[in-house]
Amino acid sequence: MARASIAESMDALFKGVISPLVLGGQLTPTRPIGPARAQKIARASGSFGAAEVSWVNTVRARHARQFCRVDSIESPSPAQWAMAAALNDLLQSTNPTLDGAFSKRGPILIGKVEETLRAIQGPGTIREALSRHATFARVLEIVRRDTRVTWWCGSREFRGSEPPARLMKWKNLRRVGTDESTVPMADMSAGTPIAAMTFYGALGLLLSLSPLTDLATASRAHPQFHWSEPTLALLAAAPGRVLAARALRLGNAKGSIEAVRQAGMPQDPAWKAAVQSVLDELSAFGQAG
Amino acid sequence: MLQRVAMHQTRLRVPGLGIDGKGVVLGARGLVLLASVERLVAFLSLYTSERSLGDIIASLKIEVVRSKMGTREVLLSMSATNSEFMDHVAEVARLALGHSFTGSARHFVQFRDSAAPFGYDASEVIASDADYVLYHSMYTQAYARERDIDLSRLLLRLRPHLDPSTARDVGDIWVLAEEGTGPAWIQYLIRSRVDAQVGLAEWPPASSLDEGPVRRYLFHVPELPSRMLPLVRTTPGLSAFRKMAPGVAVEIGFRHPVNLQACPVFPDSGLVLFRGSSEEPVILERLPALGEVTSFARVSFNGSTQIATAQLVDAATVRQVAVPVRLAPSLEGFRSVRATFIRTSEYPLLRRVLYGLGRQTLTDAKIAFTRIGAMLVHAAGVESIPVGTFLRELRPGLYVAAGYDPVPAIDPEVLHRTLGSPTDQHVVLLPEQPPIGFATSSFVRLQDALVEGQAWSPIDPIELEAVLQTEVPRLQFEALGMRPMADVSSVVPGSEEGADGSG
Repeated sequence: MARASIAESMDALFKGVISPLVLGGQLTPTRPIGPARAQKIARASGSFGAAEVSWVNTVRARHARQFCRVDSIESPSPAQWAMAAALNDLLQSTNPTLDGAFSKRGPILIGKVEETLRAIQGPGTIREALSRHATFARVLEIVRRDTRVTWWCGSREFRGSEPPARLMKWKNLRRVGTDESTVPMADMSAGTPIAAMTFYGALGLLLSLSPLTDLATASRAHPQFHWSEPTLALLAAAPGRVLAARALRLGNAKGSIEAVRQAGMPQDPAWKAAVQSVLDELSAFGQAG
Repeated sequence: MLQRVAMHQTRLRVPGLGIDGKGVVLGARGLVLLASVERLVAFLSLYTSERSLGDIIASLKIEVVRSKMGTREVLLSMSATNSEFMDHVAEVARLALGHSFTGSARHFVQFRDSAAPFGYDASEVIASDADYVLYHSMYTQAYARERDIDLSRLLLRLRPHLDPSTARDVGDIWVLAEEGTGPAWIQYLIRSRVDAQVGLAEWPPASSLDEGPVRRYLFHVPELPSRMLPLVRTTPGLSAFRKMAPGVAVEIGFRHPVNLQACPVFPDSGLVLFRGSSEEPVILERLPALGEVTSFARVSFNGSTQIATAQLVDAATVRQVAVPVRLAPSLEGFRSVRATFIRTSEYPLLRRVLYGLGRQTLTDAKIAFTRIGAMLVHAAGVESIPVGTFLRELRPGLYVAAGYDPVPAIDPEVLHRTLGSPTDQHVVLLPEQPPIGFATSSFVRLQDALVEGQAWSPIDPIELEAVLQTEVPRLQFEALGMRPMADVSSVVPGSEEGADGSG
């Protein structure tokens, strides 16, 4: 297969991952990208233009308005393109067609995902944190539909793809049965050569690069919430603490606050005071009046 | 969305906005939007450092509001008496990182700033059912009211912080002593010849495991000699509080984040003692009976201690001097006129007057209908409802026709007792008529009682939400073909591939 140009990869990444991640619908990841190519994509992101960008940014602004009054939001930054490339690879690591007859490529690709993510800095400004959340707010909402087809003498499982039409023929004669299940993002590594903790680690790393998303989904079962450097950096400024408090109140507020308490206080006294300030604020909103 | 208002401009688009004498855009109310409770405290702290909340406390409302996207913020609203007052509020709001607005009912525009000395008007008014629609130069946002924040409860939750400067020139102080240390402290004050008053405060037991109520001695010391201050501050079981305002005191050595002298929210009939070191404040709903500490001095009697007791007379003797209560015309002006008695013949006039009443009056006033007439009660005064016989409130639940006084001039409490102390009735005394009782339960809000059923027809709403509704992102894999990892490579410092990725 001829190697795609950077522009083609960007187009496929936007249409296949970024746009459906924001707008919903069918998310079709492109071929594994890798750390080197992700950096090229990030560097070239300034020149990207597509018809859907405007609508995607409108819906991203809607996500951002859950936290503060912004009427518009800028297009995804280079860092977000690199994060999207990492998400693409993370999803592809669970693709059943990735592995060959004698090779298990999933664990290798997960390693590359971590390499891509470790090269990305945390958000430098609160606006960038908001912009990242606007793009990745729904990352844990991604689901995969698996179909298990059984017939009179066997069965086969199709992860994230439709079973071929030939398997569904003569349903009554061949006693064909189908069992569909929906797999959430955190559980996608089940049934693959990737260890669950490795998958959680990469997913947690991706979430930590979008601190508001990390806090807004703190009540998640997996990967468990823990304080990361970008998330603590968000609390350094007063406006960041306000956004953090709002993120924790969003959705399952009780669960999020409980998760933060379980994550424990950071050791650094400066961070400890900031975290306590956010918890006090939540307590005040919950009890005052 | 906002336009600057020009000099001599008279027409504005946003309803409820007007131009004051200086040409500045001003509505009936002012709003301050703050991002968090922390900033609300900062605003109150800044505002009360210069001015008292007493002028605006009656109209001050603090609410938690929520935007359609779920963002919660704090909204502080008050009557905007004039643009100078609002200028000060806006300056303090800016300092507390808040935004100030002016308007009347629902639509509020940004208050004037240096960019627009005459204020702002919106170029387009948004049709919305939200409780508040705020127009700012940076955004336009609708908010729904979620709940109120009670100022006094907020102040009670704030912890005083250390401030050693408050330990100098303490002046009027309250001392709270544990039950065991109280008598010793009384004797010490007597020996030292310090004027003080003492009372015994009592709280219900904290739990059923406690043996009895919690008791503490409360001392009011108008002037404590400075030599005694270290003793009172360091003795375990004694806490000294500096009086900040009637009904409120803060522990010596600490300062409350908000200037409590400027917050007349605690009734002076009770006492709130703010303690340092993260302890909950001590709240006394009413002050205990206080007596001079000298009353506890050891005394001795001269000769016999027997006291001659006066003999009580029988009831028949008392009846010889009992008189019926009458109403006599009074020369004093009307005061405390908080109710009116409307006879059934005056109902047509009431119907006409109701159309002219303001929203607040309709919301706050209560009315009870009986066969002989209706009684309308409005705590803020019924002068705005010029119907019926005005009634003066002698005490809660007891009214007399305005312009009359009961004679003999007995205490209203005694008069209430002679009427049987009815707790579930509003008793009205009218001239030349026996007292009338209106059951408290029969009062309903005036606005609930007056409006007839209105015809209405439903209109299908436009499904705005559906336009923005998004599906769940659903992962769909495609076959990766041969060499799926062909594009994957690590970053090697110094080796750059071509920009088109073909290298």
